[in-house]
Amino acid sequence: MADDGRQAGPGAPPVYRAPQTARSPLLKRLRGPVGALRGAPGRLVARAPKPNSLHRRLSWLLLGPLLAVSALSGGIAYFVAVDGATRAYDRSLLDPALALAKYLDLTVDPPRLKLSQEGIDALRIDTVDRIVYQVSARNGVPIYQSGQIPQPPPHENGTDQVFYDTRVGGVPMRAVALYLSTSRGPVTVQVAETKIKRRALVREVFIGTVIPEIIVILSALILLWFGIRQGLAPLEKLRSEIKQRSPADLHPVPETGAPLEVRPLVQALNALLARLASTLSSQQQFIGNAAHQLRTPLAGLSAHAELAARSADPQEVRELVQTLRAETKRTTHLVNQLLSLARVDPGGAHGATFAPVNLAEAVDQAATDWVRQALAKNVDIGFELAPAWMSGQATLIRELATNLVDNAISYTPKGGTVTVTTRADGDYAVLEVEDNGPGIPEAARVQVFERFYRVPGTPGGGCGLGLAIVRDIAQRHGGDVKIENANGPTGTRVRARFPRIRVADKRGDPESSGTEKAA
Amino acid sequence: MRILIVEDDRSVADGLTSSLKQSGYAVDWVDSGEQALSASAAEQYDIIILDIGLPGIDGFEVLQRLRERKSTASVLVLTAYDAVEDRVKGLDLGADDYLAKPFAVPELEARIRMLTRRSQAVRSAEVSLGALTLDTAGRRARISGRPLDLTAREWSLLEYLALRAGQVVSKDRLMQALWNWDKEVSPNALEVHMSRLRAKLSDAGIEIRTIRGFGYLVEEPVRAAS
Repeated sequence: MADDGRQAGPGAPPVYRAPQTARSPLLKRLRGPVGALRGAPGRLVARAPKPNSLHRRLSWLLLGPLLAVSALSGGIAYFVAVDGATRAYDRSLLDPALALAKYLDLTVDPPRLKLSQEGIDALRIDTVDRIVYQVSARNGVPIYQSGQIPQPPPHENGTDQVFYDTRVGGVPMRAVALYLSTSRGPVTVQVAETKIKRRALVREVFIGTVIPEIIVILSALILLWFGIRQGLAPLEKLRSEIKQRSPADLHPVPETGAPLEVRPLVQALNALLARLASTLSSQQQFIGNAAHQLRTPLAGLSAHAELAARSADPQEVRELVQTLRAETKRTTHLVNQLLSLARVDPGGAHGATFAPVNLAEAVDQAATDWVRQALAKNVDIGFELAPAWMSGQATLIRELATNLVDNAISYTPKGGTVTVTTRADGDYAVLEVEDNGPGIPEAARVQVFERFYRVPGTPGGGCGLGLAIVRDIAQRHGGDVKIENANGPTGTRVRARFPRIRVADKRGDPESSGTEKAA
Repeated sequence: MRILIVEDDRSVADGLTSSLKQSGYAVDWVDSGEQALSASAAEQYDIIILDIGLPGIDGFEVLQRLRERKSTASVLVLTAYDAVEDRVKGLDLGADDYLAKPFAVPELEARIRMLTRRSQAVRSAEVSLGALTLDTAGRRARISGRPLDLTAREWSLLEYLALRAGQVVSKDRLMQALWNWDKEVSPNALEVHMSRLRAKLSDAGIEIRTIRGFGYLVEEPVRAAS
């Protein structure tokens, strides 16, 4: 026998892998489909994060700036008004000061006020505020005064009028200082008044501006609140529409009433619902199929068991029991295939991770089983295994290979030949099973992959799921399956191809890519 | 051969017990881990068939305790079909073999025979395969009492294959296990040794089959019953 170039596995202890085609005389529950069904609704109900309110968001986004702008405008209006009023009052404060200055005789030293007391009093008339005056000579010493007015704060030399705030006898006042230059130095005329008028004005302006502002803002708040609520009404409508649905209702949500911005959301939702509906329906279909398929063999079992129970003839009973045995085997096989199919079904359980798988090793582990099966039928089974790495689930790959080998052995007559090949071929990792049986007619080569389809006239107790399982597994791994004629005069070759991955050989040599010739 | 079945599913255990008893084994059955531990303490079992999914103490714990006690029984664990981690864990914890449920009874029986042979080899340094008997301590073989003349390499081959009777042994594994890729033994040389061995075994009714492109299979001699 020639060297077939297979890489040796690491020195693993010889472990015996469980046969994938085990026929159990004892039926188990159909765990697979039930598990798959349970998974789907859970995924639809997303877990809600901390509530994030659109209403609140909109409110803040609209009100915030509105409040700020209102406050700003109110503030500006207030200060402009107060400033204007102050200036006006200041100007009228200047009048008594100017009048005093006019009646000052500056030719003498110290200057003399040419007003009588009545005249001075007349200047001080004000309906609201109290006016105080003071005239000081150049050294700052007051000459005439009705109260002690402090000097103004420091100022530029050029100015002759200064308005300032001060206190006279502890009372806050607004004062003006006039500077008159004489040949003997500057003379200061100061007039101060209490701030009663001014304060009153400030109060009025305040009430006149701020209060309306507040009313405006409050109204805006309320109007905004209602406005936003109205605006968001379509969303609310959508929400209640969905909420009212029964869990089984997967019809699309109507798009027509929804505003433009919400439509993409509704569309996405409808797409999800459609996918869900399709998954659920395919699962239901699967279960329906499975139940239907099981009914027939079970009916047969039941009938034969009944007969065996009633028969008094031991020979007949023995024969019936043999029949029961065979039928049980077939039904068990069907159930196992259904379980496999459910596992790979697009609606079925997901989540297992992919890992690098060497097709040659996957085959290696299942070989004993196949050999025993082949020997029982006197079929010569041979292998040509070269390393071929791909990414996947080893259990599923073994399942695929077992189904192909099963088919090959079953449909090859006694004395026939089956060959299992694995190799790396360009970008693909390839697994082939070839037999020299009667072959699959070209016309049937597409249909055979359908569930429960068996080429008419095929003998044997197969259930027609093998190739469907093979195809599903191949697709799950991003690969494909093709049926071709075998090399010899008759027979079939089934080739499963997967995208190949590069893996460094454990011994450090580059991966060998060719197949060696078998003896 | 005493077998202990640890399985909580009554119908499975029932069927299994009956089949094994029919095949000539002495079989006891318990349905929980605790009972398994007390039973194995009371009796010396050759083989324990242990279901992983038990109520109460699970199979792994039973396994651990058995190993702590230095129990000499061979343990075969029964795992769920897709629980690969269970398999690995079981073997790591000291199980000798595993089988996934659902399984076929003949498959289980084949495994049991293999375990039996192994433990026999360990205990009595003797392996028998039909008319062939191997003395693993003295490295000698006999056919119906008549000594067999084997070279060292032929003996290694025979012993390796006999202990794995019923299993397909890949050529690579064989080469690695026996000669660790010793340069002296090329695959062709192996084939030569094999054919000589076959000739010597022809009287014992033991057949070493060649599996094309893969390796060899020593078929167990056909059993008279069932």
